Amino acid sequence: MQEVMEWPLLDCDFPEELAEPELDATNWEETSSQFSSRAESVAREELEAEIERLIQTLNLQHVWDSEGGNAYTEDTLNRTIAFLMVQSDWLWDVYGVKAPVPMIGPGPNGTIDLYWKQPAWELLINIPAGSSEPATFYGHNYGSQKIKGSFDPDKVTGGIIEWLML
Amino acid sequence: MVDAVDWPVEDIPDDNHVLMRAHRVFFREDVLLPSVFRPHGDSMSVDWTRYSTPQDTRNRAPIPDQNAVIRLPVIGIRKTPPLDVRHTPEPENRAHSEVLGLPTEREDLTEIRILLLGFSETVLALPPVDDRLQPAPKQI
Repeated sequence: MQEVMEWPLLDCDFPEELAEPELDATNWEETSSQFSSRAESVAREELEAEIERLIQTLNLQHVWDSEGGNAYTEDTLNRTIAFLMVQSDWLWDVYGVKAPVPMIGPGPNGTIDLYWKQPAWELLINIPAGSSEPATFYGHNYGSQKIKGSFDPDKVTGGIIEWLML
Repeated sequence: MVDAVDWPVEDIPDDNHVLMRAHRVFFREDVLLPSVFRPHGDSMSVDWTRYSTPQDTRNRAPIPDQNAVIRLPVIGIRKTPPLDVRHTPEPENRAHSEVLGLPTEREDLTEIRILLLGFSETVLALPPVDDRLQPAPKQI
């Protein structure tokens, strides 16, 4: 395994309402309307399109996952959407920065992958299938700088936020 | 009925490559997603290029036209500890091999998938979407 740098947390307080989001993402239409109220803060259409693409992919799972063994739950999808919204809104509200939209894919063992491939860096976040498990991440700048670890996907995470601002 | 063939297990040299199918859902345009690496337990099935062409590998898919084929260098895999590649031939597929040692711990697996992606190369692109497979428009 490669050596991984410690990534500093941002030196600031996270707004409580964002650190403990009360987001009901059990219904995509509801989620969409909540999202609309902050439409200027994110690349809304891109993100919605990516989420819709994921939903279609998961609905066609029997077609592509011929080897079986994976099951994706609505709960995992909802936690993924909530995570993306919280990070995007926080980044906009605090820094006025628009979050780059990840490519979203069906990860292994019922997890969901968020993948950013930028000219200067690449980052993979894996949202767990179980709500009690942490999300995991690994990123690098194609050079010596690397980040790796776990975090609670229900909360704003400084290291991830900082990475998305690069 | 043809008797099943027991192919001999061979050593895969470091300078060889292995092939893997990549379904359409694991691409965004031309960008391959790390989601393509889906271990079963601690291993992942691949084909050794000594006994399989990219087209052979694609043709083993349930729906070949939905798959691209990617290639990984054996040396790259072996230089990513704790991974290894072993030849595990099957009666109907002499090329069958396995990438072994994929971590079950999710943090490590997340890292390994990005590292594997870094030296993967698409050698057989996705076929264009065949419009004839789309539902015919309704007649008015």
